[in-house]
Amino acid sequence: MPHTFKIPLLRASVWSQAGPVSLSPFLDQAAGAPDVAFLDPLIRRRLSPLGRGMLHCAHRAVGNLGPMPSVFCSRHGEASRTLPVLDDLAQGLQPSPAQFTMNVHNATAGIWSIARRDPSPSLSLAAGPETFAWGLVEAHAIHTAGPDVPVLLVHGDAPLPPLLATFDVVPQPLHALALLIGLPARHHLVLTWAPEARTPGVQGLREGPRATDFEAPGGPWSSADGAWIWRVD
Amino acid sequence: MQDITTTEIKHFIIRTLDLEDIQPEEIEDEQPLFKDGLGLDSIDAFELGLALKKAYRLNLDSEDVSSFAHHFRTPASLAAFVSSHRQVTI
Repeated sequence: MPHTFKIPLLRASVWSQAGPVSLSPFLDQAAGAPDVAFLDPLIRRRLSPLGRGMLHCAHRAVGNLGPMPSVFCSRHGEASRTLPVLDDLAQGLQPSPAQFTMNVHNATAGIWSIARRDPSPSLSLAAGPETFAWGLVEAHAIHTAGPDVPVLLVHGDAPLPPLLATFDVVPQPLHALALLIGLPARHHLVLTWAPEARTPGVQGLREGPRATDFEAPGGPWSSADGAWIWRVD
Repeated sequence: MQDITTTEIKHFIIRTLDLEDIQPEEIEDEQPLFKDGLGLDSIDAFELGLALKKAYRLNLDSEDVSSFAHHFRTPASLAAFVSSHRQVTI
């Protein structure tokens, strides 16, 4: 039996290097250099291009609203920072403290929290090719448990560095997306999961809804856990 | 070896720490680098120290670690420190 998640949305913002692929009036869309002028220069200098894209979208989605819980999700996170750290260690050199500090998976969430002086709970996740889907479920669960306060979901990913790229069978471009889940909803993201549509014997690769699909919702996306379909009402 | 100028040190700081929107001439020679001065923090201190050590091959064998805070106080003090401990010119 299919399960349907009806997620109330207040705002949505997407950013990619390539630029918009749709002209949906619901989506705030941007390309080129992310706008992170709202951050103090001494804070924003530490952000990677991925972090800048993610916080551009987060800021566009949240605006001047007050404290709120957040879920940050990225499949590979700051892999481009992790590799030089490992490289230095392999050569017996001291790694860069700044690279080390900012290579952790919750680095961008930390910058967001510090910049906004927001002590609300924040979660940073990675779940392989289904990262965005499970970030969405997690953010929706948090909002369902406390519907009086909006919940921010931020997703972003970037291609892996060349040395690691062969491990990624579903490479994604540099992109970011933020959804503000809250009431009263302006739109609903209707996500349907049909576990009985699972393909028997599916091994390895899992495909779930991806943030890059958000501008053109549809499906079904086949996964080892079933099939997913979504639309925005 | 020739002494390192404060301008050279300011360029090095800006480049190493990705200080956006700051020009060397906007930093005073005696301006504190940390806290209420330029606003650098402890991670910057480590980053800067490591980068200077690599770039200028600083010989710090005889240096008391507790004196670093004094040497890293301003561009002028840092330039003097690097000038007296470096083993290469970059």
